[in-house]
Amino acid sequence: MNKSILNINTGSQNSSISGLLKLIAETDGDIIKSIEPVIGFLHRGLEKSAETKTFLQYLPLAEKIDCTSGFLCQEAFCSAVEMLCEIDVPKRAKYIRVLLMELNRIASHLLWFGSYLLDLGSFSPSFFLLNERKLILKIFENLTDEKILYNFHKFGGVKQDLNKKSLCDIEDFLKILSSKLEKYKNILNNPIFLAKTKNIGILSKNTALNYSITGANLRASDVPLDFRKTQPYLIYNQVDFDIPTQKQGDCYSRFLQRLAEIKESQKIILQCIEYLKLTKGEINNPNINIDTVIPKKDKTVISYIESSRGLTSCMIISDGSSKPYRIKWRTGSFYSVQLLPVLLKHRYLTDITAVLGSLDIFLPEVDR
Amino acid sequence: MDFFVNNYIDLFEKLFNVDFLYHPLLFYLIFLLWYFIEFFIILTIMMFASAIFIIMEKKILTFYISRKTSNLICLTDCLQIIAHGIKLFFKEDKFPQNADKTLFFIAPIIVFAPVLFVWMLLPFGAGFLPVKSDVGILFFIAVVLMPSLGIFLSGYACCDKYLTISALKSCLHIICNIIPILLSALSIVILSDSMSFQDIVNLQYEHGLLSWYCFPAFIGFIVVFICICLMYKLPFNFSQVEKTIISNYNAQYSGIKSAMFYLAQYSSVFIICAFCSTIFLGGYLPPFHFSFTNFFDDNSILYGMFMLTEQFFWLFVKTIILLIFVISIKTYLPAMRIDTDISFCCKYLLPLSLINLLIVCLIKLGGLYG
Repeated sequence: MNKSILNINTGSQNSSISGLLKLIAETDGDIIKSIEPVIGFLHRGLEKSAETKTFLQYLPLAEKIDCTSGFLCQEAFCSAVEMLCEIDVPKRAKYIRVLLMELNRIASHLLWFGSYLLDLGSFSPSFFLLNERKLILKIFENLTDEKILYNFHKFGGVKQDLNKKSLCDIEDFLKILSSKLEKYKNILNNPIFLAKTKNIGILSKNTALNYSITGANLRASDVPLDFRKTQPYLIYNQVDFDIPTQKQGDCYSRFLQRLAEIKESQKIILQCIEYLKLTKGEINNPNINIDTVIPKKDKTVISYIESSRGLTSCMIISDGSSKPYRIKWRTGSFYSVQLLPVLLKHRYLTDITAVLGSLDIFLPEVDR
Repeated sequence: MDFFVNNYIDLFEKLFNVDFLYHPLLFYLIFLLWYFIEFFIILTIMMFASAIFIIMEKKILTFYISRKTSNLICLTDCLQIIAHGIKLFFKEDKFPQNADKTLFFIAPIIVFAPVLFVWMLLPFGAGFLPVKSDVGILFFIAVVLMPSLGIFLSGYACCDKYLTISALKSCLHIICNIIPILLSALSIVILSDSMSFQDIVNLQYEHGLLSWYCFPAFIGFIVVFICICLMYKLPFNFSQVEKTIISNYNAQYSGIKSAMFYLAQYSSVFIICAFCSTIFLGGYLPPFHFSFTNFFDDNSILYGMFMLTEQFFWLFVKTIILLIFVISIKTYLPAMRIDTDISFCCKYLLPLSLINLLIVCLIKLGGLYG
């Protein structure tokens, strides 16, 4: 064995990961020769446990796949069940779902900003961004009485309608956010931050596609792939938004990409608010008794959701009983973890946090 | 200080009705006692300064990030520090399984003791200088560098690859930052023809603010200030950069030992700022020729007390202004990467301090100073 090579475990120090990912690095001096991510420390058996539960019993658990974007995960499961049982969702409920999902995407991105900046050693800007996230969580709390796990979706609709006051709250929040985002972008436009993120962890177009990366990480590598556009679900084909992309594919462009996505989400939310203010209608499918959702025959369905960390899909195999035969989740972070050995090869040891943070890996989502 | 010693001895002579000149043993005992008193005064100042610094940092940070801190303990959380101290004192003291017990025990002491000793080297008032040295500056920088040995030992003692690497990096960082400070201090030695702090401060008296050394050695002042900002962020500061593998050396310490690291961090930043204001900003001298002591009789003990308080005040004001700048800069900028930081020190700060040295030499040759 080469004596100059040192094996060190450098996983547990990243705050966004909080000790659940092991990174075993082989280093020569300060340079990483190879790195191996070890996952599975947060495995909760969320896929297997579905087999003993009815669809309704599993609905609150679906949020725990990714607790920072609960609405998005529940939507993935709900839409799969709705496909399975052929349940129609009223239009107003669809708009409400899209609005909440986009708000949740913003909250998730803001949390990522906060923890990423903290990882890079920038203390106070991280708190600025978390302040804005707090406002979103307050809106969610007023609506669902919960801050993190909402359990707001129903098969064939949502639990509650959005009234005028909560719509106005959301509008006010968007005004605050758009004025502050520019300010934060300027604060972070300093040479130390750029030196830590620019030209580091460059993810090329081909590598990204070969590793089946989705979401903001892929779009930052100049691939305009967004499942909201390519396979529109709910009402995404009726709202107007763009797919922002970045050219470089380094940590800084992933940072800019998420900022740009927040702006696009704001656009979608404003359109939803406009629709919800002008129209009235049902928020639930009246023909469905949600306590007894039973698929009619053997069927396999897959739902695709563009989540905050890439493509989230839920596959359900049903044998016609009240319980699913098998459930399989596909989440974005699981694929991003595989990138680490590629991106960190021949880099400095201190780059680990910059690269790891920029990929927005969320361990509960990886292990499920 | 001689003024105080004389008064002090007079007091004893009157109290016990003896003439000390005829009792040399008693004389030295009294003198020794005086040194202990001095030591405890310095210790109190140090604890007090660290406490002020911690409160100040908390308040400034919460002001910048617009959040509330704990404000329920009395006097809007000023006594929180005492509560923290008591809590740390009663915490369980743990040894890691494979640790070298001797080194593990010694390391915090090696970090803490030099920081304590350094406070003896700076003059806090005219004559109030417990350790009188003709090579004060050199001595100061040598002692300030000592904690890096303790830091290395603290990482090495735990028998942990991770901690050893982080300790090595921290040492490297401190040494890289000290070299520009040393070269900038050299320019002051050239200007004043002396290495003793007392002389350096006295030479900055003549025209008040205008004769401070921060004007001829302006670049040096800036370099030292940047170095303080950099040092404040990384070597001692474990909360900031514990995510990158830099200062995890104190990860294994708990209880009173971690409190020693913590205290060493704050008091060393304070004392380096005080050092900077001593050599560049006139130390304990006021910025203009005015003193309340003019109203007192020259020989009264009240005069001495008042003079000393006033000089203390000026040094503290200067130091605290520097500290406010350091904390503000730390609030907005992220921490540097260790390799960027070292190349920054070697490629920019070191040449800048050499240029500063050249400018100061030219000024000195021109006959502007002495």
